[in-house]
Amino acid sequence: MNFLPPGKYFADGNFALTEGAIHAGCRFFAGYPITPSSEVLERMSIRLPEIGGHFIEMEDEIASMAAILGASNGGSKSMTATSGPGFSLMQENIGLGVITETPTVVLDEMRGGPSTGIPTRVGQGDVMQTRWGSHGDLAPITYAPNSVQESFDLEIEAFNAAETYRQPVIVASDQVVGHLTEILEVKNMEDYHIVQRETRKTRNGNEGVYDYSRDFTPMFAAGTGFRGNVDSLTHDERGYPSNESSVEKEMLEHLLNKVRKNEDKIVKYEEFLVEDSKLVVVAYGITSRSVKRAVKEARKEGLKVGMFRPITLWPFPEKRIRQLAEQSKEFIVPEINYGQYSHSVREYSQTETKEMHFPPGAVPDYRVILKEIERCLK
Amino acid sequence: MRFGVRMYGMGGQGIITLAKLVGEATVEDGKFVLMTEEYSPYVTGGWSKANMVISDDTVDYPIPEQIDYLVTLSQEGLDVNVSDLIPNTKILTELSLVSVPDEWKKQTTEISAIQISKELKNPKGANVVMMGAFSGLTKIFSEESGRRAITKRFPKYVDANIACFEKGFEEGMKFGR
Repeated sequence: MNFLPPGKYFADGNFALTEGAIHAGCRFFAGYPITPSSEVLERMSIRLPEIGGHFIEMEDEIASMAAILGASNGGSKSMTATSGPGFSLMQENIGLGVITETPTVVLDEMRGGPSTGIPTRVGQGDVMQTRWGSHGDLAPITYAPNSVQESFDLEIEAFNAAETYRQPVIVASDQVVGHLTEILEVKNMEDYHIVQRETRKTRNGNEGVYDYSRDFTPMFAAGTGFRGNVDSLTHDERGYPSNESSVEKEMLEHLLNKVRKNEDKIVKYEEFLVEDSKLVVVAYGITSRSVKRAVKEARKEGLKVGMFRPITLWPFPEKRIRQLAEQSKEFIVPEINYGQYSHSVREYSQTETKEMHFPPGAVPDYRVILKEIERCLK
Repeated sequence: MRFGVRMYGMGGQGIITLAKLVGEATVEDGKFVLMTEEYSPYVTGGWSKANMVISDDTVDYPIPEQIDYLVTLSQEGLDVNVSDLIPNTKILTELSLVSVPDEWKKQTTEISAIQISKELKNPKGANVVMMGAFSGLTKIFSEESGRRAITKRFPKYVDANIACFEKGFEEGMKFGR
């Protein structure tokens, strides 16, 4: 089998994430098995050799992250899949991907933590780690699917974003979405927009590895003739290391601005009945499906409540949250953690933000969220 | 229409596969199905369960709000789920592994799925016997869709599994409305 043929499938999130990646052009996977993302690794080990790709089971997650960066610099679209404990180990090399401007995709399927926590059950405790996990200043891009369909579609988008903005992009799914089986509809291959990688094979004169006057400089593929330096140290446009603060300023502002200046293009969200709402519930991933149900029930009681679902957790959908803050007197943020994304909602909205903490291990009960909506609006 | 179904057993019995087969067949019939799975952190012998929501409409909330059908291949599957059952819950059990208390007897259908699969020389097919029994008992999906789902999932072992499915279907029919 080449690409997953168009049609309707009864498939789980991990199947969709894998096939979405292959549609997007992923041809290299390196990883270390970990529940709940192991099925992605398993399927990749079968599928990649079928389509001329490469699969490696690595000794750990640090090496996995390093391998996918190497593969990407060698010209291959690459990814890895992990969960909280492995994601922690990957953090340093995620920063390496950022500073070397290496496109790749990291799937973090969240389970209960800290540490090995509840391996087989859901959590949403890595949300701030996808933002601040690696040291230094970063402008991360993180997608949070809430269904099997989105697992497929957003995986393609994550690869496109990685190629466009030249940095590791994170897909933050969770155990329930990964193991949830429902209907997946796959379109014809030509109906998907896939960003193809443009590479430079020969070097013209003094041409740099990077060009900070442009947001996007095409990569060079190692081994094809363009001889360049790719360095984890602060570097100038030639790729050579420097200790100068002025060079750091130039490089870092380029790394941050290529994302910050394009936030409007990157940010994605879903809104449900927010037009006239006096209260907005902000939820992402599997929690948003409990919230949608709670909002439907509350509307039957005449309560003016809506749901706002960030599809990109980062960049934070700042503009829209500020607009919603003007009409809504309060936000509620239910999460399967003890308060993470709620901090950002409070910070950006400058509005009363009520946290709802759900312990890892179960999908939030919509009735508990409904009760909170009633308490706020009655 | 919105049904909640729970399937429960031990790791290795094919509970998750059973749920996927039922889901696939039900989707074939044009319904919306959402299935979540959970298992204990062991490979074999720990518990394994699937929750399903079957609906005429799209499903947002992934947890069944009531258990209309419980299918269990282990005693634990009955014991731990009793508190979630409603008076109308229909229960389907594996005869040789589950002893059903008198109070639940009248709504329970006991199937010798393991025995049947052995007689049909497909000892791994007990879960497919259960799939047939579930179809015969509940009519949630058609016999034809069941066959199609099996063909799709086990292209190399179609006949052996269809045989299990059909025998299970027959058994389920005896107890169905």
